[in-house]
Amino acid sequence: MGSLAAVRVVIADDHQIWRAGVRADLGDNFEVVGEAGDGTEAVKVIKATEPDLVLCDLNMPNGGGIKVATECGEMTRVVMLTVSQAERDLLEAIAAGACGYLLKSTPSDELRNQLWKAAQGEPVFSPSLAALVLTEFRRVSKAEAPGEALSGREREVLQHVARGHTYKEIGEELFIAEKTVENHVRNILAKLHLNRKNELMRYAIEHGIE
Amino acid sequence: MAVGRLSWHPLRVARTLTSTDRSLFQATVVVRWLTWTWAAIGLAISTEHLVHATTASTLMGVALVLTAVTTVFWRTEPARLSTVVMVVIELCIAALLLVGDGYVYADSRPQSLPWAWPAAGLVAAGVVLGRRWAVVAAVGLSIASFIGEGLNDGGNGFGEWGVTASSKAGLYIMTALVAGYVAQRLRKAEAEISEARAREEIAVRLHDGVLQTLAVIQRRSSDTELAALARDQERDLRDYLAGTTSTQPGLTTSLREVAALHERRHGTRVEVVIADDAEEPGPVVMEALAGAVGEALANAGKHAQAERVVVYAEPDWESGLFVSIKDDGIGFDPETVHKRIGLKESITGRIEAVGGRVEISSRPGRGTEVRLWAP
Repeated sequence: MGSLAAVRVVIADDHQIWRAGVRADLGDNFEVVGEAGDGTEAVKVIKATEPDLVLCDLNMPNGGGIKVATECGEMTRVVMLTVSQAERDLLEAIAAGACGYLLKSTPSDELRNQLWKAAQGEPVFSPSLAALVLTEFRRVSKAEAPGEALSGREREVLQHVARGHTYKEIGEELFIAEKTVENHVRNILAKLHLNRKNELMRYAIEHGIE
Repeated sequence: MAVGRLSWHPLRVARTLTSTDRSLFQATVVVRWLTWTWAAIGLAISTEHLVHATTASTLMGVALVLTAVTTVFWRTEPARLSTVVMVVIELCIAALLLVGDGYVYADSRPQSLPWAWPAAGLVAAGVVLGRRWAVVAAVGLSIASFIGEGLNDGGNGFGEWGVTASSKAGLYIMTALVAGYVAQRLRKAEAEISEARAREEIAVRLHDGVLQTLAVIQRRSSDTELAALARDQERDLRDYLAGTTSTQPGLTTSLREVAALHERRHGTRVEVVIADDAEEPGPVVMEALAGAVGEALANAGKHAQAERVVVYAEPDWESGLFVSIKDDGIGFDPETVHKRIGLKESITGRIEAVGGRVEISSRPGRGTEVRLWAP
């Protein structure tokens, strides 16, 4: 899947009109290979079409975005496109394996831009999501929650994202390559993913759920 | 919510019944039947102790009629059970049976005439009249049982019947208290649950409908004023759904207000990001912060030609707050532009006055960032 070919996309949203709108907005660089109206259908369509990118509404019937991220997060890149700013949901989606989220009010050109980057493997990280993740790791470092803490550099990168810097700007400011910034962000997501998984397991063991 | 509003009219409905009321009344109906049946069996097996058999049967008949009437009402018009007159009639019949108990039996008997039947009336009183009046009713029934037990004395003296009557009185008052308390708590819980449910329902509907529509307008409208309006509306709705009241001034509300004002004035998108665990500053610091952020935003809109600004706040490592205002505008060269049209003074002045500090960094083509540390 070179960057010259169109990005193959699956759009999952329970509103047909919304799917049609996004389809129209994506333009020539994207090819919509499938649509789905709920979580279960989305998983089926994704497994059948193996897209490069999944655009998924967080709140859908039958599992919604969390289910899609959990089941397909490893085989493709799942980006949440949502009106929800319910913080736990977003964190849950990212921990489940989504590579980022965008608000539905994002203007078309920015949407295209971000999705293109996501398709190239760059995490789509908005400032508000970065702030959420930072808060989560502050909780870890205050030992209110068990888990792996961020390194000083990772914290620095994440704080810059929260402040609205682009990866390029962060790289210039910290004297590191843009790719290195991306790697830091990926590591941060991996740690978050791991911490959440461990927390769930710990909870399960403490409450006697096998 | 409408607890304790009473109707003194025999037929007028006291209030619209909640499902809690309905199930409480159902409970009283069941208790009435069970206790009446047990009392009737008790009467049947102790006929040899009776001196006024006709009176005893009549009294039990009256109790049966009332039991039947309440059952019919419960099935057809449960609201009638909620009238004061209904409860008073029931309590009077209960009192009559308690007094009659002493009159119809010669002396000792295996069981009192109404047995626990009066308790059902007290439960109804607790549900309809509330705890206080239910206790008053219980005191009334206690007096009746003292009279009844006294009449039945049979020469054993107060030492014996007094104890029996007192223990009954204790039970009645307890029943009234518990019934009134439970009814009140259940109603409150029900009101709270239905309120929470209504909110949740609204949230789901808005998420699917109105918020989606507002998002579409913002994304697809070329009319910037319309888009800004949609953004404002979306913010208001979100605040309502999240339960944050905008009347309460706080870090989030203040910074959002400043941002919204700026969006309307300059048409720049402002994203306000505030960490969950950011501490609320005092009113003086808050005012300085809001002023400084406003100045930074005005600069981004007027001079930097920014399209998008991020206002970010998080707790500072040492103490207080860290706030940054970052735009994606043209930026400037700090070497050549010394004092960006009063930018430094208007922001630094406010923050230093409350004991904070300010850093401004910018490069041509890389936007401008203002960083504030406030105590």
